[in-house]
Amino acid sequence: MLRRTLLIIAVACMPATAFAAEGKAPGSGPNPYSECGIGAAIFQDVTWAAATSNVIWDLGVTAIISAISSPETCNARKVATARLILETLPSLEQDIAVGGGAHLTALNETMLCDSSVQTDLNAQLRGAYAQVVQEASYAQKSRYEKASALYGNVKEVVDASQGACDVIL
Amino acid sequence: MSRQLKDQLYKLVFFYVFFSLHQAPAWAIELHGDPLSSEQRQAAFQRIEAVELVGATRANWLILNYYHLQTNGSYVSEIANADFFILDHGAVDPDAEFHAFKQAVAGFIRTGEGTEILCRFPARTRLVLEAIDAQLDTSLVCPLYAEQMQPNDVKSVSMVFASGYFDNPASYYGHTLLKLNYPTSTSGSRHAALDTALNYGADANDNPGNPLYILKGLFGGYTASYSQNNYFLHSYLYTSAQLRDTWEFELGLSRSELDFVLEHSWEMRSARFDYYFFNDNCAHRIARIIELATDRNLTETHGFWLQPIQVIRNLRGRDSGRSLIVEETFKPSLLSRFSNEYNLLPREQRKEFSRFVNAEQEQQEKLVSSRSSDTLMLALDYIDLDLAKSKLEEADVTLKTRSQARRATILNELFQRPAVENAVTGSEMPDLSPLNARKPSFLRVGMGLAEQEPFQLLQYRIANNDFLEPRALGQEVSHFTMGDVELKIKDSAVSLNRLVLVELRSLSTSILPSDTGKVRSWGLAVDYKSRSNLCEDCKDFGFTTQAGKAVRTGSRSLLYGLGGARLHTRSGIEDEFLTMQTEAGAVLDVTENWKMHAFGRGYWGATSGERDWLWGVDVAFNPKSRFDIRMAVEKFDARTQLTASVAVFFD
Repeated sequence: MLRRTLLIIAVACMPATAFAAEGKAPGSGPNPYSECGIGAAIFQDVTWAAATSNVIWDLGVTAIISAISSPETCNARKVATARLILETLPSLEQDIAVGGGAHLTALNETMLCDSSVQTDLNAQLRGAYAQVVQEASYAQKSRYEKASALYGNVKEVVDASQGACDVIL
Repeated sequence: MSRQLKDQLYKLVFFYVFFSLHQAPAWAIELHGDPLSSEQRQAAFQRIEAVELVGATRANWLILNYYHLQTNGSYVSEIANADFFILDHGAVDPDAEFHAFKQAVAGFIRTGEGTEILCRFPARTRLVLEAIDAQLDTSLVCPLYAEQMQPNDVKSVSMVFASGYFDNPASYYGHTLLKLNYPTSTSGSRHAALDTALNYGADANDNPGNPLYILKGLFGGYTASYSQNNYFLHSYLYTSAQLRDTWEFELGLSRSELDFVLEHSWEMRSARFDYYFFNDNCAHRIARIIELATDRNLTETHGFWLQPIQVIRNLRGRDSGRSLIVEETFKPSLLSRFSNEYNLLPREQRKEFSRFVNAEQEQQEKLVSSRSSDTLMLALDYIDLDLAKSKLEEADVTLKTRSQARRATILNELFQRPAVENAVTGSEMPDLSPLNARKPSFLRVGMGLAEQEPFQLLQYRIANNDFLEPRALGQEVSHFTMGDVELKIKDSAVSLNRLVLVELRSLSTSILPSDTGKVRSWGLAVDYKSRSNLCEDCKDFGFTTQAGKAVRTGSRSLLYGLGGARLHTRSGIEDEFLTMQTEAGAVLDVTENWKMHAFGRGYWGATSGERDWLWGVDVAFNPKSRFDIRMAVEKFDARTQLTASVAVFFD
């Protein structure tokens, strides 16, 4: 209950431009795709399918795992959140667009968000990501760019939620 | 003093000693549930020193490390990498390896040192300690194991089956992996992000298009290993990128069986095995872990090969009758989900949907605001389906750009609308359990007339899937057979009529009648056969490749065309070795059980210019999953052949 109250207060006090934290566009700050090597391992200037094409003979994913570096800033939850966004982006976008769904629930659970505030978080995220989709350049963006933008939105919503989620992004 | 209070005191003492001495806690070992005193540790050390590799300990040690007795009386482990073992010669000397490991455990008991080895081998450690009726709290000795596996939080294990995937020869028969299930969250659903996949696959770096890739995969040219990863990575890759249905079979394991699975799979992280596609594959190694935990036979089949689906069926209890499966969960692919939703639409809405998704960009932008959110969601699925298919088939930049623009339009429209309360993920899917699917192998007997002369046919096929087989919802019309032998008996003489190593035709159609994509059909075959059953002199051994296009003409019918070439041994016809080949055909689902395939093939000798034409119609009746009845008419070189046959299917 306390978390929910804090969240509502935080959201109410948040200016409309809060998502562009400190003048930065969503996703422009440090993110795990560059920090934690996920981008380099999975997604560096190659399509998703090409990146996973080395997953052969029963789809062993050793190659992907071994290529990921994990400095201290990349806690397991942060990496899991970033990977979930990157890997399930099309479905996650759909869920966010309609306000709910299995992938959005998985995202909330990955970040250990209090179930009582997930609806509010989803609404905030929906509002933020709608601006990304509205941009004329959205259709031309790569999957990596979209994932980075969404990760930035998620981080801002979670940071503003005053501890509604246990993850540190 | 109460037992709980004693336990608390023991823990306090343990943490004090642990943090003050900065060494691993020998006190983590328990005898009959109680921590050991220094005298007891010394006694335990001596008892471990005295443990011999005999009886049940020996049997379990050999199993745990995959040792096999050779004909010359020596042992060798299936584990291919020598560095898995403590000793350099550990792979061929189970006694020495056991002794060395026993010394490591004993040393740890006495001094608290040597956790590195114990951390690598929690199942081995349990085995040694069980010999003196003691237990070790692995999570205390090995924090890394505790942190990464979180063994106490694992609620159950599921065996996951992913349906076949035609874009990779290694995945034609599907795939199995294990899923470690963690507790449900406060919202009632599982922590999807915590669920972990335990996978097994070959460590191959060759391109699947490279012939070496297939040869090495078939004949042990690759090593293979286990790996762990977030389950959602696998789940999404299968269902949304590769368009494969998956089923999760939660297994009813006891706590000790579950602990064994976790500890043994942890040990296996550093093990490598030689990979053999037919019988030492993902199905074998994933099943093996469950076999070791439960002492059940999950890999028994009628042949030397093992397919994932056979393991899944064996979970039901082939011998003892007790099923290991406690719950089955179906996760449909994007293709199956879309097909289900699309087929549920009334005919008029289907037409309207087709017009909408195929409209030009400008037209679509005008129409989008007048469409329901359900229609827009379905359209997004359709576009994602097209994108997934185009990714599989070498991305077409123009198509991709167009699809992304349409996707943006629809997504933007959904964002402008109010959020849907309790957003649902679609209609309920029909039961498509692989447990009820047709078994992969068959024995077929038939009789026929060729130019009024009778003959009999006897056919055996290891793995069967052709155009006339029953298909699951959303499953592509495809042909994939392997290990097909057909004998012809005529005038009391038996001859080899056909031998197919592998034959594959992937038609890859769009689910919609109007095809917006540029996905190609293709085929390949390695076989010994005649171009027609009516041409006894045409038999040759060859390799065929084909490419073409298939188009759906309705929800139950499609047309296809393929062209290609066959490189073959010189046959009786004009001493030819390269034949160009074209094929056109139609596949019609007359009813759910009646299917028909009509085709025409043209052959043109590359050097001789000789041409042949073949026409045929095959009809199948599939009344039950266990057998079918087929009839075929074939016309070649002005001659006609009729055949009728019945097949029985089995694992």
